Amino acid sequence: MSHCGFCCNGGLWKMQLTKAFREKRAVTSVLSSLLLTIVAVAAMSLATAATYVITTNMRESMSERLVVEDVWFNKHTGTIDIYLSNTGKVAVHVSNVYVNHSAQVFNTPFQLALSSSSWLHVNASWNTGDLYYIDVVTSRGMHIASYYKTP
Amino acid sequence: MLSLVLVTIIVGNVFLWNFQMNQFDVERLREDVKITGVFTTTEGVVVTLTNNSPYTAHIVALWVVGEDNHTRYAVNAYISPGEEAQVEQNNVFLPEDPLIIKIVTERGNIAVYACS
Repeated sequence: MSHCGFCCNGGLWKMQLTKAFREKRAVTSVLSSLLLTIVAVAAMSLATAATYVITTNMRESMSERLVVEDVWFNKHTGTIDIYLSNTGKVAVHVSNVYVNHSAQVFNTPFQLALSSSSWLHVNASWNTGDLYYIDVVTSRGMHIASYYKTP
Repeated sequence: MLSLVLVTIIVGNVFLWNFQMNQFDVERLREDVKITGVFTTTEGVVVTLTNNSPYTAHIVALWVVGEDNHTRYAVNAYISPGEEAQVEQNNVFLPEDPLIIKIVTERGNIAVYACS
């Protein structure tokens, strides 16, 4: 005579089912904890990266210092030569030069490394005895502007 | 928690950097170097400077600006606070026409002297 454990041992079957249910609950708990951890780590990583990027831009912008050492209205070449010196703590890239609020052509690309200086040659026409407003703009948006009178 | 610490460090670094740049600007504004005299020798030109600021001034350039030429000479001279010093640059011969002598400090200040 054969015995069926399924029908004859109802208590065992019930116990196994209960155990299985319990195990399922445990898996859900671990998964939810893991998911929460991943989401939290991802969010905080994103926040850290965003903070780093934003503050790096801020830090670079506030570290720019540019000095106009000399402005030469050059009779020989007909250009306006501006001697720029980088006294800040980041490299500087000059993006635009305006003479009397008009954009001018200059020797691009013009970059100044830390503690370096160089001539910026601006192809702008000028007349003797006139006053010119020269504005040098960097790629980070800093303006070095002043009035200069030609000799 | 680690991210919070990192964000705090990054933001703190920005404040520290801002403080350093403000300090740099204050020193630059308070730096006061004047040219009190310029004379020529057989070897070149001698510029007499006075530092009236509480900071040591580092002279990095000497400009000779004439009517037809603007020439920059690299200089490396330090002047202590309250001190009067002479900066000598050999092989510089001043032109006859009206000219301007300029010196530039490392902080970016410029002192100008007009020679008649």
